[in-house]
Amino acid sequence: MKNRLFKYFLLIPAFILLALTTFYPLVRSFWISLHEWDLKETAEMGPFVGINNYLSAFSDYQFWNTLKATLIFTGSTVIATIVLSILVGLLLSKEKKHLSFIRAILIIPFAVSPALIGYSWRFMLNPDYGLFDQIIGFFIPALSDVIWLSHEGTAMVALVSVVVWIFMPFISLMFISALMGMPKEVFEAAKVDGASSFQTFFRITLPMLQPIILIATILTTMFTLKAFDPIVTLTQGGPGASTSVLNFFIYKTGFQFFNLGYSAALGYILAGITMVVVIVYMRRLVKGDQWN
Amino acid sequence: MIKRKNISTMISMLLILSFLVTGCSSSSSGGNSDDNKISVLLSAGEVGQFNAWQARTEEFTKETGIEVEYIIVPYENLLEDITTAGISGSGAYDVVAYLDTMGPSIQQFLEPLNEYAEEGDFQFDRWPEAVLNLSTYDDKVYSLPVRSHVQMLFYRKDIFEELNIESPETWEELVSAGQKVQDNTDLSGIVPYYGAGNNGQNLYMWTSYLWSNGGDIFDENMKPAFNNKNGVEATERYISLLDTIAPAGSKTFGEQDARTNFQNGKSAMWIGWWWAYSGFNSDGSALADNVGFAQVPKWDGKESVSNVSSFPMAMTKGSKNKDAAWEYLKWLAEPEMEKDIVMDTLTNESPAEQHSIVVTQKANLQDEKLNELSDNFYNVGHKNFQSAKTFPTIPEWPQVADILSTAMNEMATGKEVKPTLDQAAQRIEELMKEQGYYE
Repeated sequence: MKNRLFKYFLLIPAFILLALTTFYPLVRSFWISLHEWDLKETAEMGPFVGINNYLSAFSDYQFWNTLKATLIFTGSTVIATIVLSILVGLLLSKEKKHLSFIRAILIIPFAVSPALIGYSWRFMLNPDYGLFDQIIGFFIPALSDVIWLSHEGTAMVALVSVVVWIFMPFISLMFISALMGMPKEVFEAAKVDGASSFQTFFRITLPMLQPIILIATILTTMFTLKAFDPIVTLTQGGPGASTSVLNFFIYKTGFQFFNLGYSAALGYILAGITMVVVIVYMRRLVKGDQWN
Repeated sequence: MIKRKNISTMISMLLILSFLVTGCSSSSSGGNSDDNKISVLLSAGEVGQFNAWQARTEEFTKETGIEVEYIIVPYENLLEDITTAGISGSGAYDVVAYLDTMGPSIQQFLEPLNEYAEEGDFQFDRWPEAVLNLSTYDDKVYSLPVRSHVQMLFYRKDIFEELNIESPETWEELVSAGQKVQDNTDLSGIVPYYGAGNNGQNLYMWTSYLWSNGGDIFDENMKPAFNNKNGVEATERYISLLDTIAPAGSKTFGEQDARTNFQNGKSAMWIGWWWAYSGFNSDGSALADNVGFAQVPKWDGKESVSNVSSFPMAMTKGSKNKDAAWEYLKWLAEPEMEKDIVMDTLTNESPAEQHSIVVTQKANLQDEKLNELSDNFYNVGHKNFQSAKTFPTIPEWPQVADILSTAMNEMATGKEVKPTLDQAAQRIEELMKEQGYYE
């Protein structure tokens, strides 16, 4: 009996640590989201307003603008990252020596600070001396006069490209390991049956990759919804407010406008959106028993 | 045996727990309880003036017996640090430096200085009215604007001399000068900065157009006024620079991008903060001794109106050593100290990291020797300070600036001026109404 209690006792330090670093901030921020708290007025939390802060979001034009930008940004980034990562996975999943070196250095962009990447790309896209801007102009003269960050469409393309560039290496590694772990017999059998490369990819490789695609999609969606540094450093939400995503809006509301109650509510709305997406994906995973 | 093992494991766990708990608890005392020691929060970034203060602090300690501990944090963390210390009331800092736009939110954590000044016969009017306004809330002065900047027009002396162009005094002359530059060189006429975000940097040059044209951001009832006839005219003229003498890239530029563009010899003119002048003339700069300066241009027949920004020093409400903090602030504000730092810079007697050209006090701005050494730079700066206005010092300014800054960028990237200004005005009016400005 004593031994049974002892094992729970051993969990106490971990529980305290989690309570202080995770549970308390979560509960506290939820509590703040139910109050009015304008830090410009007072350092004390204001009166309890129930779900008013949540309701305010739905009548706030900025919220809807940022939600639209978030959907475009997240959707484009997730699709581009998954498609490109699968292609990179197919290219680099062969058992060759030089490929193992490339696989090792592939992770570098994911390891670099996103803020640094954002600043670097801002410089590279600078119309005066930007390296990338000049390379594009050299190869496609029609694009030499494009100011990438000055139009809604091109700024979003630039932002999505940079974020894909950050996440793709990590997701590619997931696909590489999945592809390298696939049983060779299946592919040999397909070859014997006369299946073309195209048929093999769509009928065998892709269905077998499905669980990894689902996990990769969950991770990329979560990473993208939380993306903040590249937006601040690359576009500052512009031009206009076209790349101002929800996460950036939460930051501005909390730390530039000092409306802590509303900012906390927006944070929970973002968390809610993330959870809904994850639950939908997870249900698909469990339902399809894709783990096996 | 097992029992003993269990007991010793439990004791170890309790020890770990106690370390965890004590490790997580914050010291409630905080700050400096020692009467002769104060802590001063500054932002990082190799600011010459801050370095010069630090280098001279030993003299202050000798004179007063007050020790000063400098705490340097990255600029990005400055607001967060002041706010955290303010909320906790720990008195972690006795004196803090902050950017004027942070003022409305942190003012509640700062100590008003009027009583201290009255007791010690300290005069605030040594500073130009515009910069003092940035430190004033509800008629009380909360900080000393010992580091302040004014916007000025900078231009390439060599190109202007070669093409026989006079420094422009009106916005019309600015465009003519820019066009002459573009016709004869591969430089752009001027490089503005229309980029969104960046704390509303794209509004400073716009306000010089607006204010000089008799327009304003708000009217006397705090209703948006920037979309009236004068405002639309000023904004159209500001945005139309893109059709005449501004590079297309300036649509995305922040202040730093535009300054770099000018410094790299891509444009012949730039309007920005005067502190950049020392950078243009620093060792190794391609523009050394080749940059002229002038007042910000004006509308024909009207007055030039510049914009100011300050990085003042304030005493915190939570300070445990307020008298010592006031002594330190008075020392920072001594006119001789300000002059001494700049003289050492202009005569190259101080190390490069302590170079500063920042002069904020009226007497020093008009000082004969400083003007002689600086080719009349401070007299021109003084004129700009005298005519300058400031953004409204209201708590809602960050939100208002965000709406205006977004609109400005939208107009620069193709949206029509009048409807965009009207929409911004409507959004600002709604915000002000929510905040209880109108009946």
